Amino acid sequence: MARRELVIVGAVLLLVILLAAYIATRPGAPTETPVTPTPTQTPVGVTPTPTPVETPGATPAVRYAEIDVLRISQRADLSSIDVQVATDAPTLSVFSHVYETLFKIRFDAQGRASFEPWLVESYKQVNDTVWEFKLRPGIKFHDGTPLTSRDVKASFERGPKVGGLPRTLLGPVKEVQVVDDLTFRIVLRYPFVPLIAHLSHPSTAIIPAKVVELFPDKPIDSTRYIIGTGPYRFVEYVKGERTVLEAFDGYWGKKPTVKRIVWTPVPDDSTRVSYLEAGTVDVITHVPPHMVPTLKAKGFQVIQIPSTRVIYIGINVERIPDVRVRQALNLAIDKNAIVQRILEGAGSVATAPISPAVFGYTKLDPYPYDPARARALIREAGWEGRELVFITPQGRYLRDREIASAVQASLEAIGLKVRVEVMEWAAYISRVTTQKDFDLFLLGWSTVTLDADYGLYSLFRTGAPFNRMLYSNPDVDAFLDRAREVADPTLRQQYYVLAQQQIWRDAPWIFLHYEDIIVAMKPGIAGVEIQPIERWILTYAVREVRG
Amino acid sequence: MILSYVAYRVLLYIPTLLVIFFIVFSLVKLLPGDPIVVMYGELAPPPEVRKALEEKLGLDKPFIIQFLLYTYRILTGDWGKSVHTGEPILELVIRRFTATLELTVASLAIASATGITLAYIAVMRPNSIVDRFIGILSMAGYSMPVFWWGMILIFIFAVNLKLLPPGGRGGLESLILPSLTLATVNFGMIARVSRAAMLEVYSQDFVMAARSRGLSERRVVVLYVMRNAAVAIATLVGLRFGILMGGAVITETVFNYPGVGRMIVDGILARDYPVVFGGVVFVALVVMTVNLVVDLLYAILDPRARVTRV
Amino acid sequence: MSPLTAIATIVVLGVIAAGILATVVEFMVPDIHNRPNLWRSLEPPSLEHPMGTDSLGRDILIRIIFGTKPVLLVIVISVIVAATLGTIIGLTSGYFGGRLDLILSRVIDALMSFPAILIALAIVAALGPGLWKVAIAIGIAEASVFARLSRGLMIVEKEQLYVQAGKAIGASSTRIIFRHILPNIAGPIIVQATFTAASAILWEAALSFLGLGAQPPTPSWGLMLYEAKEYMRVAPHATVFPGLAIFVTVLSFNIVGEALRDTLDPRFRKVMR
Repeated sequence: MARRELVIVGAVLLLVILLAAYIATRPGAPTETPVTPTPTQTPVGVTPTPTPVETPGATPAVRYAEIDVLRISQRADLSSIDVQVATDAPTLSVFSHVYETLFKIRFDAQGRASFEPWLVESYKQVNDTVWEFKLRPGIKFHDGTPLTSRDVKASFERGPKVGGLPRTLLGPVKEVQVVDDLTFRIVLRYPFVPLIAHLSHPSTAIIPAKVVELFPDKPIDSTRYIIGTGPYRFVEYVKGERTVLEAFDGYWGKKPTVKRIVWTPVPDDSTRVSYLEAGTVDVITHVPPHMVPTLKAKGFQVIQIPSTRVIYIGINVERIPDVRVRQALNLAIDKNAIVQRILEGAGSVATAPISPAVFGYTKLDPYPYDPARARALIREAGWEGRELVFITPQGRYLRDREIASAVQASLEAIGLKVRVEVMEWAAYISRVTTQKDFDLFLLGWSTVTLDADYGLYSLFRTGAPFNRMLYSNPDVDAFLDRAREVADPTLRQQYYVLAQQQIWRDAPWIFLHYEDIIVAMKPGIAGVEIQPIERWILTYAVREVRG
Repeated sequence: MILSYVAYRVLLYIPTLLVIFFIVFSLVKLLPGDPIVVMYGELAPPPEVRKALEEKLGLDKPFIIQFLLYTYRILTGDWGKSVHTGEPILELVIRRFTATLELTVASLAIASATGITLAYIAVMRPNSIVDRFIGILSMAGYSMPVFWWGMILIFIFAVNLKLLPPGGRGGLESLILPSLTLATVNFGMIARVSRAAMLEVYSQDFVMAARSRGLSERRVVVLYVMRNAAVAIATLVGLRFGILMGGAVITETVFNYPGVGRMIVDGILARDYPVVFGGVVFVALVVMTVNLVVDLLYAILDPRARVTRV
Repeated sequence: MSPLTAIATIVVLGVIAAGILATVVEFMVPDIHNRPNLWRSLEPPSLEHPMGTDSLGRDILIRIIFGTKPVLLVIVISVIVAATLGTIIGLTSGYFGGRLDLILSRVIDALMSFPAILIALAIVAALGPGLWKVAIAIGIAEASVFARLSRGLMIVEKEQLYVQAGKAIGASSTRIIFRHILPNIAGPIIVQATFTAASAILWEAALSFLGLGAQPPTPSWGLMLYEAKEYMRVAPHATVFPGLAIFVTVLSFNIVGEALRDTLDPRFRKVMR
């Protein structure tokens, strides 16, 4: 039984490594309050200094040079050419090079986030609901027009009309008042503490007022109108083939070290790996975990970090109102097996509805894997033999369809019938959003603002736009409402803890896991910034020159 | 005689096209959802634009008028836009089709060369073991699941041997694996048809006569046999061009090759219907035109064919 | 009968028998082919799992055996749809001739020259994915083949004495077509059905491979390939066996079709090319 021992030793080793990695990447003890964007912080003027992630063995002879063309393959093509319409991480990664936001999220070496003023130079809170901002002077759009307060006003007025994300992120914003060319005020509908975090999300990026005039309430219809203030101009988009960005000469910030970035969508995971191996591209994202050892052995750099994304199976609470059934669903799934075997260790079992890196997180005990108890609960509730419709996307999240298949079999094992429908992302997301003809749906949510409001309010508040479970609990609503308004971080944290405990008991989700990000690149490339919010910034990548 | 046949064929071409447009249009109408998005790819247009579009698409008119308007828009090049990117579909389709054409032509070249060679070998000894083996081989070719075969070739030549790129489009070497894959499925048909054609020629009087006149075997083959086989293959390629293109759809997906087939598949998966049906209509147009041209050429070359095909 | 034809016949009959058996067994034990064991995923072939396990630790051999059920379903549905639709159009067109024939021939021609997969794709786009829908789509796409065949057969057949006699005594057209002509031309249609079955298996696999066909956990061979594709480099067995199953089955159907055609009445050979 040498093999079995090997497996056990391997599993233990893996666990130890995982644990170590987890501890290493955790932002301090769970009871501690992670850094939070408080408006009382004095704004600091910052020049962007990229921290090269994973600098390969720094020998003294190594110099770094600029890169002419950097080729990167993501899984998905642009889902929209309109930054305010796009909702997915791959598209927003591309647009993060073209557009800029008023504030910028920054991660330190421990993965802790902070927000710094970016397009704005300074800001102050006038009263509970009025904030005043001053734009940095001298910033130009790619078409040469200067950035003014009117662009901000136009962007924030258009966003909610065309896209779900701006609608959510800018929901608390009542209006934008232009004071002068560079000064503007944001008037809120109610006190809203995480505003700065929301203004760092690419869906709140500033687009020219001119474009807004042309497309006030519908998506832009040509890449000509992809005009931002970012380090890169949009050069070319060929659907399914490539997106080309070129360094913008008039960029106000530090000059990019990569002249051209070519993004090639390769939906198939193994093909994408072959692209890297064959040298067709320099960087690939969404590396399948089973290829990590091979790539490392061949000398490629592989970066694996926990993301802020939690993967869950939403339960349609109106179709499954009995909490015993929902808890049984949670008990029926062997989350550990999913993480270890399907994700091959590229993740960790979820311990809250939001990830540990997010402000407001509290560690809860995962539902144990207990099929016997699950079966008993199902029987008690009189749900034996009921058929559930389970819809899932494919190719959107790491091993999504395998996870769905495993869950399907586990649920059948506790006496339910489950019909799985696998759909492609675009079709899937529109069905999840517009219809309610299913019981279970697999989704992921990345709290990219790193504030619990975005991860909890938008998903669990009664009637919230992404509350696709139709979940409603007045207590949770009250906690989440209060947490938006109180400025004291400790108090906010407490509200979030209460909310999460209640959500955990009510089980409107099957809580699954946090996903890891795995990116691989050619040896000799440094300075690629991989953010836990599934954003890759290539602007300041450099290549190693020896001798 | 030829002229009247040409006129007849061209006249038949038009109703055939209309039939295809009609089928596609009916399928479009079957789809649920906002007809403007489904047919034209315009997302949430403002009310006044919407009204103009509704008028243009004739959404308040009876089915048949809508169909005629649709045909009119196709013929005038107004094919609508991609739902997701707003790209005009005609441009998109033409660019993607160029890639598909490259692939199809390259694979046809390989398939024809292999097919004719095998047929020639087979015909040398009809009904021998070699002939039967070639027969089975041909059948194995068109029984092969393209996607599986493509995966195997990628695994061997791109992943293990690293000789060729695993997919994408760029340069001749990226064309080799996909066209080989596609050729595997097509050479069998070609081998069978040319074998039959060659056998027929061999048994004919004029070949016997040529042989008895002392013409060398090589000249007989080149002068008569190959020429006859070429006509047969041209017919096959012309008449079954559409079927040959069908294999390309799958091959493109396996090799991440940006052709019109993958565009259609991606379009279905992303619910980008204007792209899907634009692609289908375009392929149909090309296929019909190729058929027409081949038919006409054939009629000119071989007067017997002018009688309507059974 | 050559040894090869014999083997092919055994494979064809075996697949059909397995499909029927699988339908019965699956009815009694619905999850028989869907018992994941995540801790034993992607194992290479062994005595316990002769074809190894897939990415969820399910036995590949069992899944391939139960994969004959979707195969059978697709064959039956698509052949019935294609043969019925095509034969009715073809026979009507051929029997009545004239303007009707001209129009119907155009429709048949248009569909014939059209890549069947495109028709199937367009139909799946409109109807949505699923095994049944795919089977119907393939049936519609393949109908033109039957239409052209039966039209050709009808044109030959309608000159026959018995048809002329029937007409002379005033029998109705429907009666003549279905009672007298159809049984006489059933042979070639059955042969064509065998070939159509072969391509239906291929197309179903292809559409499932594209994610447009069978839905998990259906053990469709094409879907199994799709699911195993990603692991090709670490677990090649998971792609080899389902692919082989498709290839061998399709090849066998084609061989049997050829053999049937060769033994058939030479009168029809010309029409069938």
